[in-house]
Amino acid sequence: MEFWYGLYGMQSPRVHPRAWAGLYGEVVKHAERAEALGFDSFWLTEHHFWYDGYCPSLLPVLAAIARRTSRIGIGTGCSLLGLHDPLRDAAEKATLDVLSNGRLILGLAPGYRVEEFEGLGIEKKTRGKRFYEAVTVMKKAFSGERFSHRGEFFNYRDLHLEPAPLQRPHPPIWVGANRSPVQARNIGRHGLGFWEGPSMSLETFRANAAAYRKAAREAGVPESCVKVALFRDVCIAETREEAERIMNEDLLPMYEEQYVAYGYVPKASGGRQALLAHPVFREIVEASFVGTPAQIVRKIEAYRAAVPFDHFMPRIMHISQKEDRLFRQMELFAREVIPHFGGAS
Amino acid sequence: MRTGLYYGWDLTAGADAADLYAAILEQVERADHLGFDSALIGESHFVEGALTASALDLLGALAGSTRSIRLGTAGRALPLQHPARAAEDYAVLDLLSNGRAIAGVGAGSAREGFTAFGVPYEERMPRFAEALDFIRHAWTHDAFAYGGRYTRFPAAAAVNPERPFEAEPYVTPFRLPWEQAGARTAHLAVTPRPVQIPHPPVWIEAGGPEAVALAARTGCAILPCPGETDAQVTALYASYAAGLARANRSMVEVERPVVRDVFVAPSREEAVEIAGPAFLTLHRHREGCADLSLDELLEDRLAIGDPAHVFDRLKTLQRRAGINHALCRMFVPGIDHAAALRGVRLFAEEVTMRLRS
Repeated sequence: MEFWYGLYGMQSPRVHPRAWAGLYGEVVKHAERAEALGFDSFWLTEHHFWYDGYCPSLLPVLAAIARRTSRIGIGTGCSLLGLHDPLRDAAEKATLDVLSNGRLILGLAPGYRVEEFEGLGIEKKTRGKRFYEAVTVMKKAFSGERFSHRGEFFNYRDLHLEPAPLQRPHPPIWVGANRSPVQARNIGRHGLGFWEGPSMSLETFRANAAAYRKAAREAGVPESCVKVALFRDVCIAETREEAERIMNEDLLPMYEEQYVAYGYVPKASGGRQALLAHPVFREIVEASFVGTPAQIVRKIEAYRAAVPFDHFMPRIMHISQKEDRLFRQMELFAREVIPHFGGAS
Repeated sequence: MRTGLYYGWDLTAGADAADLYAAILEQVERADHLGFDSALIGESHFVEGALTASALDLLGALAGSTRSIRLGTAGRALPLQHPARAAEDYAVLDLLSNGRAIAGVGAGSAREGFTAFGVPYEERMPRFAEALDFIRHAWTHDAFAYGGRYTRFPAAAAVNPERPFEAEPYVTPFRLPWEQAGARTAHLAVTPRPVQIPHPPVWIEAGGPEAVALAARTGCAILPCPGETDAQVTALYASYAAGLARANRSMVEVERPVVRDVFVAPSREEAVEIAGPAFLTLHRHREGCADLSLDELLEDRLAIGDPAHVFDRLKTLQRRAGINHALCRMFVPGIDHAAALRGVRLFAEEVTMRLRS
């Protein structure tokens, strides 16, 4: 089993404002620590035009991490390809793969926030089609061969990307899944990795992962390309009480701020209790893995019994907590959860 | 005078990309230890044989591995992307390096990138001017709307190229769907903001009189193209100074960089032997320069030789053109990594101290 560590967006939210420069210094340090602890990869996340300064450019930050580490994979989780020019993106990602000695892992997603599409002048309605065409363009560019492309959104003639990525045929590609079985089938049909987000119930995960596998099989995708990853918020401590305290103090305030900000949950007048009663909020809280190492292990095993997967990303909400508390959780997870699954790969 | 290293995009023919990047990173890391002030890296897109498709990746790596050297792009072609993306990239580089970013930008020169990205080459100057206007505004403001000739931000912004900005009191950039059903985003902020105040310095590639005039008007620095003669650099700075004066500005408020082909060795003969043929090949590739001789180059373009000679060449140019920042191009095809590293060390030990005093 592979263990990914993330996700960092270098946000400065209102519940825990920080100087951005400090966050950018810290992320490199945390990646070094994740490598020392034995995590397989370290992941950043992207958004644009957000009030909390959510990181809009992942690649230079991953490049800094690559230069300061030697083994750990570096991941974009997710790079919003639906908002990018796939040609430029391919060029920058190929360079980073070469720079990092082939350690780049690509998590890609179409994007969903209205403001980002309107800011960059891209139609949101057609984002699904645009996204998969962009993936096709990117793969052609990654081939290192001369290529042309005539499509609905992109047209290129007789181009040759230099350098091509170090990993052949290209760095692994994962696509962020959402609630919709349509997206699950699309990921399968295109032979890409299925990456489940943090907020969907086990039922949704099971149904969508099954739809994904079925679509991949029907499209004749080789078995080696059919792969599932799970991403969950994790609050881990020696005792259940301590883990719950971490959830209440570190995780929920972030959720309260972020989910109201995204517009998923209406601004509540009754504080946390009113929020917790909202179905969207309740679903994501229930989806989080909170407990002792043994309890987290059992939770992962229960999920694996329902849906086979070989990649797990614990997100230990780093934004709103003190470093020592975060490092303690990283250590607990690395020392007591990872070995249970045969250690990091 | 400050000193820096310069890596053009045309340095790469025939090299292996991984070796090339490792060499550049090691040289700049060494330069950081030795007290160089800056390192600039060029970028090109789909030019056959060129391997620097992403200066930003290299600069990001260096932000993580260096402490005090300033890190910049050289002539990044702004018309090739949405200006909000460029503003974001530089802000992130500035944060990652804790305020060391230099935005070396330009209208773009190689046609290949314009063809590949589908941007009309003949529009590159007005597109560049607009992008620069947008980016500097984005770095220094909260939510705004921009209705330019080429850029509307957000998409619903009213087009008004004469007065493209419409600033609004800050409003949170997100909305609740049930409160504003069907509403279009009117104003957005480009976030995060850079460390440097008001923003990272902008160095405009001096690709022609229009670019120089724009730089003078907007108070940005110019970056002369590598390969120009001392006389050309001097003339360029004279016209830039005149432009600054017209804009009621002065040379003291801007950085005055120049790119020079530099190589230092203990003796002049040794320096010329190692670096002469490499620079001759490079310069002969420039348009109209196929018949150049090494002697001509040594006379008015190159600064290669023993430390005293290199110092003299740069000091003379400083006196004539008023430059205050010498960016050295030392690593070009034909000069290997080990030789370039030695050159970096010798330059720092023997030339920099004299230039600073």
